[in-house]
Amino acid sequence: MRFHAEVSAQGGGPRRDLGVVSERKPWAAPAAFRQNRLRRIAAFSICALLLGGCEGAHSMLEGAGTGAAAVERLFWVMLAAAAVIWAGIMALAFHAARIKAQPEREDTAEKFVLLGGVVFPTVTLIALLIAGMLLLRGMIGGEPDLHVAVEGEQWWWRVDYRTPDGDVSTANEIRLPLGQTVELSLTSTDVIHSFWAPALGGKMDMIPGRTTTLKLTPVEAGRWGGVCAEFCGTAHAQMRFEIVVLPPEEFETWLAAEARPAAPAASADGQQVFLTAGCGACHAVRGTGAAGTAGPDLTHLAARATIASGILPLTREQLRAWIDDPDAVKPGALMPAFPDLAPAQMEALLDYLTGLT
Amino acid sequence: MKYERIIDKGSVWVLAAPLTVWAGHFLLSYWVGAVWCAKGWGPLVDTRIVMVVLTLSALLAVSLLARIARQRYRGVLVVDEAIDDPTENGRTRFMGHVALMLSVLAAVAIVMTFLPTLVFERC
Ligand code: HEC
Ligand SMILES: [Cu+2]
Repeated sequence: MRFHAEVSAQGGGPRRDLGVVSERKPWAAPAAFRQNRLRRIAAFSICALLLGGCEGAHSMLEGAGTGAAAVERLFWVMLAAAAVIWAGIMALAFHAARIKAQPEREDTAEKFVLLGGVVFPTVTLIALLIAGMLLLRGMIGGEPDLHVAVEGEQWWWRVDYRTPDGDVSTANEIRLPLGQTVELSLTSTDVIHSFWAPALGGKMDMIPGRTTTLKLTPVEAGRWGGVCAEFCGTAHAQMRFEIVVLPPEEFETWLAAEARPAAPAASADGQQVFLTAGCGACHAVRGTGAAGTAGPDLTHLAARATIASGILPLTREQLRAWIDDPDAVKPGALMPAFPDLAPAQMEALLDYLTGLT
Repeated sequence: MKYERIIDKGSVWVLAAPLTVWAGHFLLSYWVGAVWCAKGWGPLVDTRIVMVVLTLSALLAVSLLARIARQRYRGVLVVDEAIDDPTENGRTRFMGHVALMLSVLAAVAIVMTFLPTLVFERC
C-alpha cells in the first residue's frame, strides 16, 4: 500500500498557515474563521500522518516480502477495527452525555457495562492474540530454498553464502533471489543487534553465542533498506544494510561472480599499498594473501553500492574520506584512520579498491 | 488466633491469592518452556502436556479461591455492587466480592498465558 503525499515533505505549507492563525486571539475569531482553523488543523494532522514515512525502501507498508505483507494486513485490520470501536465509544459517550438519567433502566445499563466493558474487550483481545500468533506461526514458514548467515558486528553486517564453488563472504549488502524463501541464520560477535528489513519481513534479535533464524520471501524486486533495531553502541544509528532482490538468474550470476577470487589488481601499486599499510590484517581480499577477518571482506568491494554499512555511496571520493578518517565519517567506527598515506599512494589504493569488481 | 484479620476472619489473603496463582503460573510456564527447550525433553514428555497440567492446576486453585470468595460474599452476584456498610458483615462481603472478581480476572489471564502453547509447537 502506498500513500502519496500532497504537500512538501516538510509540511511547510500548512504549518506556515497555522502560524498566521495562532497570532489571532482565539476568542476574537469569528465562527467561520474558527471552523477554517479546525479544518486546517485536521488537514495538517492528516498530512503529517500520511507523510509519516509510509513509503520507501524502509517502509513496513511496501509489502515487498510475504512476512511484511502479512503484518501489514494485520495492521490494517486492527486499525480499521480500532477506528470502528473508537467511533462507537465516542458516539456512546456523546449519547450518554445528552440523555436524561433513567433509574428504572439501571439493570439494562449494568448488563451493557458488563458486556461492553468486560466481555467484549476480553473476547476481542483473545481473538487478536490468537490471530497474531497464527500470523507469527505462518511467518516461521516452510523449508527454505537458500541459507544465508548474517553476523552483526559493531557496526556492520558480515554476510556469508555457502555455494558449491566455495564460501562467499560479503558485507552490508544482502542479495536475494526473487520469490524464493531464504533462511537467515543470525548471530553476533559482540553485543545484541537486531536485524530488520521492514519492507520485507519481521525483526529478529542477533544474540552473541546464539543463532536465531528469520525467513524472508521477497516478492518484489528492488533495493530495500534495513537497519539495526537494537541499540548497540556509538554508531548504532549508522548500522544499516541493503537487501537487493534480483530475478533468480541474475542472482545466480552474481553469486557465481562473488565466489571467484578477486579480479586481477587494477593497480599493482595499489595492491602493494593495501598490503603494506596493513589493511590485510583486518580485511580479506581472496587471492591476494590478505585474509583479515576483523573488517568486511573486500574481495568484490566494487560490486557493492555502499560502504560503511549502507551509509555512504561507494564512490572514489567517499572511499578516500573513509580511509583518511573513518571516525569522521562514522563516529565510533572500529577502523583506524590512515592520514599518513602519500597522495600518490592514496590514488593507487583507490584505483585498486575501485577495481575490485 | 493471632493474625485473625489476615489469616482468617474477614481475611485479606483471599484478595492476594488469585493473582499470585496467576503470577506463579506465568513464571512456571516460562521456566518449563525454557528448561524443556534447553534440555531437549520434548520427546520424553511433550511440553504441551506439562503446560496443560500446569494450567489446569492453576485454574483449579483459582476456582477453589473463588469458592471461598463466594462464601464470603454470599448473595446474588452483582458486578458493580457497592457494599459500603461499616460492619464486620459488610467488610467480609466486600472482601469476598473483590476476591471473586479478581479470581475471574486471574482465570482469564491464566488462559491467555497458556494460549501460545496451543499455537506454537516448537522452541
Ligand atoms: C583494525 C582493523 C582494520 C584495518 C587495519 C583496516 N580496516 Fe577497513 N574496516 C575495518 C572495519 C571494522 C570496518 C567496518 C566499519 C564499519 O562499517 O563500521 C572497515 C571498513 C572498511 C571499508 C568499507 C567496507 C564496506 O563494505 O563497508 C573499506 C573500503 C575499508 N575498510 C578499507 C580499508 C583500507 C583500504 C585499509 C588500509 C588502508 C583498511 N580498511 C584498514 C577494520 C579495519
Ligand atoms: Cu544497533
